[in-house]
Amino acid sequence: MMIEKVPSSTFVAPTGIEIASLAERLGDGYAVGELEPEEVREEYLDTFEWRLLISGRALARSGRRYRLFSADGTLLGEGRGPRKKRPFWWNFQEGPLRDDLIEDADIRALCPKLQLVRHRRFFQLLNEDEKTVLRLRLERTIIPAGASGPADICHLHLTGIRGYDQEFQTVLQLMREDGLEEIPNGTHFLVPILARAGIDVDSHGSKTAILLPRDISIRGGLRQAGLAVLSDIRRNLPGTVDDIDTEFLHDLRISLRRTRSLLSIFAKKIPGEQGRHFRAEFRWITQTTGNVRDSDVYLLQEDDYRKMLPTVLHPGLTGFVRGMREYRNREFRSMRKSLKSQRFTRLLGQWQHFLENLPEEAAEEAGLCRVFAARAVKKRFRKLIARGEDLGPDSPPAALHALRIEVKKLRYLLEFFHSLFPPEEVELLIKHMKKLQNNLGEFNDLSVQQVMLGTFRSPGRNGEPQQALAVAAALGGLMTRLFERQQQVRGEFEAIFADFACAENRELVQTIVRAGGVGPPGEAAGRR
Amino acid sequence: MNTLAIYSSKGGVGKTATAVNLAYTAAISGQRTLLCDMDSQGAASYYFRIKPKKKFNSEKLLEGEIARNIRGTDFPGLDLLPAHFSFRNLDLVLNRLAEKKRRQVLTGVFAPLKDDYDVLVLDCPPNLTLLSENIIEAADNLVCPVIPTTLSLIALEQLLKLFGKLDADKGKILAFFSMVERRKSMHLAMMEKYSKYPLFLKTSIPFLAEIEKMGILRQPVGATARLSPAARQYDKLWQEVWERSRR
Ligand SMILES: Nc1ncnc2c1ncn2[C@@H]1O[C@H](COP(=O)(O)OP(=O)(O)OP(=O)(O)O)[C@@H](O)[C@H]1O
Ligand SMILES: [Mg+2]
Repeated sequence: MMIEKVPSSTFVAPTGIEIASLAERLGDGYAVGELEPEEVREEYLDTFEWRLLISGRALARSGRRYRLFSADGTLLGEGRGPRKKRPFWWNFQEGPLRDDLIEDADIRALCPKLQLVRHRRFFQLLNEDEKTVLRLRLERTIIPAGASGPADICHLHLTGIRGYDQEFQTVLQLMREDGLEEIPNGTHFLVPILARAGIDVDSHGSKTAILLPRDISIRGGLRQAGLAVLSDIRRNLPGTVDDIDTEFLHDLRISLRRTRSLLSIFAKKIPGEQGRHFRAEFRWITQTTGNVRDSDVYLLQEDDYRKMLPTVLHPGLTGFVRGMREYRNREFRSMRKSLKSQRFTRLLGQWQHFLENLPEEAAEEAGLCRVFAARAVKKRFRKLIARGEDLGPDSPPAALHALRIEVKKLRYLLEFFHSLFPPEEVELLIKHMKKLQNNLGEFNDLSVQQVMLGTFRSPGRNGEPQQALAVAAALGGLMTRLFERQQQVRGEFEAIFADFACAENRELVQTIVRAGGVGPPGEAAGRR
Repeated sequence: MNTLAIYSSKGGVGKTATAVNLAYTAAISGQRTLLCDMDSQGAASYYFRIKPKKKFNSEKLLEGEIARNIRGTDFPGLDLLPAHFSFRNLDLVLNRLAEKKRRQVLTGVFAPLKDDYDVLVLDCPPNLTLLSENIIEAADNLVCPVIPTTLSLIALEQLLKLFGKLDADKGKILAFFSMVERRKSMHLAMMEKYSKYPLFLKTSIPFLAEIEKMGILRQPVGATARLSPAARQYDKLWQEVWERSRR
């Protein structure tokens, strides 16, 4: 690129600011013109974890008119869209707007986040030839009282015109002299508005980061990690129950599995009866969510499945999808019952109470969490390598499945305790693990899918043998394709595992473990 | 980047009117567009109320120092490289260069802009000189307004001859009838006779008071009235040019 971007700048302005008087202050035949003002009542939509905002976008709608903006408030596209309260990208008509949403929203629903009224006035600074040399936009945003707000904010945006830098700089200087507060360049235009509306964007990630102080006790570590993961469960629960999109359940299940993993890592710190109770109850709730998640996975793959099959088998696939939807609806109702049950609510309450009231012991007596964590990592890694090395080309799928669980356990360990370990090494190890996890994960998914497709009973009403036959043919076709793919994935396993078991990773683990304080005497790192 | 030169060796045939309105239409339809005013008279620059920067001149242009001289018009997506009075000497400067290089100078000047713009429109002065040869070299297409009169057609024939001499691709030429007055029988007769040649586009631009008035209003016809007859006719011309130029 040879041509520079035009400069722009935004200020917080007093509501009554006068733009017309700028002309006199500039002198020399300048004038200020005003264009048609605009008043819109809009609702801003974003995914649960604000993916649009994070990627520098904003999606607004008034009625069924949708507008997509960039971070600096430039209109990127507009068009009519779905009436649905929480639309997905696939509810939009094909076009540039939809293409943008595919990328940023992916499979997440676009949820209403805040409503506001925007009064926008557009001005242009004209030179002696009546040429526009600077654009000004005065934007007053009113957030009605409600869940967020009320608030009333006024911003002044300056946008330069290429080749008329001097005018831009002069006006910029005047605004600074007037003492207007400048919003740092590159700030997303919604950010100050959200701040004024009291909406905290940062608390919406799908996973809470667990940051442990270096010398925390084992119990302290359990408490902090447990509460962080519990907050993930709670955050994803309403969206799962309301069935807003499939990611809520997916993330909920991850946090349930992470909780179960904590229960097993810290088994010794959770005494007998209580430990058994938590383990059993969290296993129960995780299992009640399994069928819905599995059917979500099939339904999300509909397009991929379609591509795997010749056209003649497509009607059969459609029948399968219809049956799958019915099955999912049934399973969802029963899952929702469990998630809303007293039993589950009580479980979360007890778990929180337990974590918050863990008796604090002196760290020396109880041991340091980092020493404990380092030992666990060392043990897991060793076990994982041993299990993997035992595998041969003829090992049954169950053996790979067991290895997959081992890898996952190590992954969780590293995620819980990463703040106690050297960050670069942990990051690198996790990066290397991902390849292995992907291979094992895909292998396992393909097994599960084949079993499920093989036992799927077509919902075809009685007297529709034709339909049942079409579905069976489609499923047969799919299973063949999935089997072929699985063979391929299996064939890649040996090399991927050998890569993972390499000396470099062994050394990475050594370094990580040593930093935790496990190793030959004298080498114990830390004690700052 | 598609480079379109609006060219005729004859004066007053509607080159500047075409360049200004086509560039505007291109920008409105979403193409990042740069209009280069190659005529020292600066008529295109005048229509957009843009004056060149003081330090700009023909040497700077030929040295490729254009990025910092480009200015934004009042319309999003449309920039303009204003003409400078010194452009009247462009041919003199070109003539001083080595024989081998002097036909490709403009090509080299515009090449670095290829990532910044989708469309380059050149408003050319009425010449048949070394500058014209540079333009023929640099442009993907020459859009040539032809008033349906004998004199105008002679200019087109001269251009074809020059193409022959330079061994350039005549398929680059897209001619169209400009300033057409349907009540003039000579216009109708000439159009009847020549429109069958494939080098002529189907769209023509009639003689319209609205286009003449651009000199007073100083903006493209579409900016004054988006759906006026003249604006629609330039939309049509743009669509046909765009389609032909991408073949
Ligand atoms: N279609 C039209 N209808 C009416 N007037 C027109 C039309 N096209 C151009 N004109 C007017 O005719 C005059 C000459 O047009 P223009 O400047 O576009 O021609 P040109 O070929 O660029 O001239 P030059 O060779 O001097 O650069 C201008 O006053 C312009 O407003
Ligand atoms: Mg001209």
